[in-house]
Amino acid sequence: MQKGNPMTNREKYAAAFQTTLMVEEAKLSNLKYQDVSTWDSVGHMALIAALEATFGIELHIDDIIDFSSYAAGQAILAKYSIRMED
Amino acid sequence: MCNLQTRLSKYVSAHHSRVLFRDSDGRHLSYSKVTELAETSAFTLMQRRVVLCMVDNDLAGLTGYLGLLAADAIPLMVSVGMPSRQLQSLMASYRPGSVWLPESRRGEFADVVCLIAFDGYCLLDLDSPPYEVHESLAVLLGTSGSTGSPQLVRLSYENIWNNAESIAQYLELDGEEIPITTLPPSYTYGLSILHSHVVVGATIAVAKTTFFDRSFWDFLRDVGATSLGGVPYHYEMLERLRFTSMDLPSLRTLTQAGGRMEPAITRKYATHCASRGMQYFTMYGQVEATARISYLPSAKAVSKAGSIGVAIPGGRLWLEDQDGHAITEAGVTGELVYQGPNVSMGYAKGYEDLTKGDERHGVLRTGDIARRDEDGDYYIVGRLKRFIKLFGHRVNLADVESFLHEEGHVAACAGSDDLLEVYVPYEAAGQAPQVKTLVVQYLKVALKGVVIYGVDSLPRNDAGKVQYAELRPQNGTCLA
Repeated sequence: MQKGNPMTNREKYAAAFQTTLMVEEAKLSNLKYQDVSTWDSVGHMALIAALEATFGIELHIDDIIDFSSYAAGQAILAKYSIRMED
Repeated sequence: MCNLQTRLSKYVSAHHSRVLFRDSDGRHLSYSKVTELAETSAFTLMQRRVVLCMVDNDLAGLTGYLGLLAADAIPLMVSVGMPSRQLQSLMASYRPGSVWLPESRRGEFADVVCLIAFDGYCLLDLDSPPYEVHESLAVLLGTSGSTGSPQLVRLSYENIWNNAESIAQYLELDGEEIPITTLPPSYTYGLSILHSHVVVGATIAVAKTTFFDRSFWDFLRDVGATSLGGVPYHYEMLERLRFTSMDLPSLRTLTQAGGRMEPAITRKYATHCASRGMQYFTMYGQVEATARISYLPSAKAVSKAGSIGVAIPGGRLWLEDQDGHAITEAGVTGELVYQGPNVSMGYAKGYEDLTKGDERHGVLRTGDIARRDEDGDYYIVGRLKRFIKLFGHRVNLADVESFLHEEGHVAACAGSDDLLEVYVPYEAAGQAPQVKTLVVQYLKVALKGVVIYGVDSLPRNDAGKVQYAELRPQNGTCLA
């Protein structure tokens, strides 16, 4: 990240996954809950906490449970007006 | 002895027509299936042989485990996620006669004969020569999560069934109970829930899913689960899911074990349970004592939140000072010592140790520092041994250090439950992310459980010994 060039929502979203679950960027798009050992229930809590802090939101219980993949998460965040740029 | 070996068969035959397991697909198996499996020629062939048992919370896996126990085989429990390399090293240490595992992992065993297949599981003949094992030995359990350490705890039939009956007694379990699984069967707490409910002929609702799967909660409601158990991180998850606002009318009991939980969280859940007419139990134990050592009676769950309560029925707790003298006054801290029929026979590091008999004679020095209040309830205040618990699983700090040393890193470990602190010299700061990755992969824990700190140099005394008390986050900088 460079000065005057803030991260996009997509970058922030990917960064939350990479830092909490230690997954390479290339593997993110198809990633599902429990696909990798780091995305277990403990990792899920860390991921949700990171996303909530990053985007300043509080996820509803149903959304925490339905947050079952990298793709599904984007649709869930859209409900909180967090949109991924194209 | 004969009497104890057959105790499982006694429970199973007493409850034979009752439902033992139900799963979320609507399938079920009765207690008689355990006997049926135990009497197959494949299972009887494993009598007094060690059998590697890699099972998940599913019908076939668990029925096979009980079948092996009933067939007088000695299950060596490993987690389903154990990597092949660690599995191979355990097999080299214990030379099991066979392995009971999901068909999906059969490919890792080339050229072996399948003795019997059952509903997605198979018993593979490892064709290793038999060796002598002690007549009392029933089950082998690991002391830590899934690092593949060869150190196992030797549990006898007496250990397992006395502890199970004691638990059933203080939790007042009966055949109407339906616990839902939340913990792996390779983990002492998970196994103790299974055993204590088999004793009373209850039905166990087997779930492979976690709290973060919708199907877990659907299944809990559909099956009418009456209890669930969790380690502190389970309660952290329940917090996040706002469990106290969920409507789960069938649930009657919550239990917590597997490490110290913040008294405020305990009080919150105990209060919630009381308000719903449910029971809440804080429990304490160690795999060296099979599973449970103490429990806090539900009536005191709120007022004594933070206490581990009193010894389980049949056991005795006391405190000892540094000289090994029993402490009689209340409020004085000392090492917590336990005596009871569930204290394990001892450790094993390889198959040669399995001929050994009982080395502990019913007494276990827990390594935990505790105090007792005027009412006789105990509180853990510290730990003598250098280990912490990460999400319920014990992590030996010296093991992590020697693992890192083998990988070429100088580091010292400290921390508290659910947070492992790894200290490295600043000069090695560039390797901090790599150290973190190594530790996370070695322990197979979430990243949030491990933090790497940089320090000027590792604090050592004149003899070169690391001064662990000086390892504190405020003396370093967080690197990863």
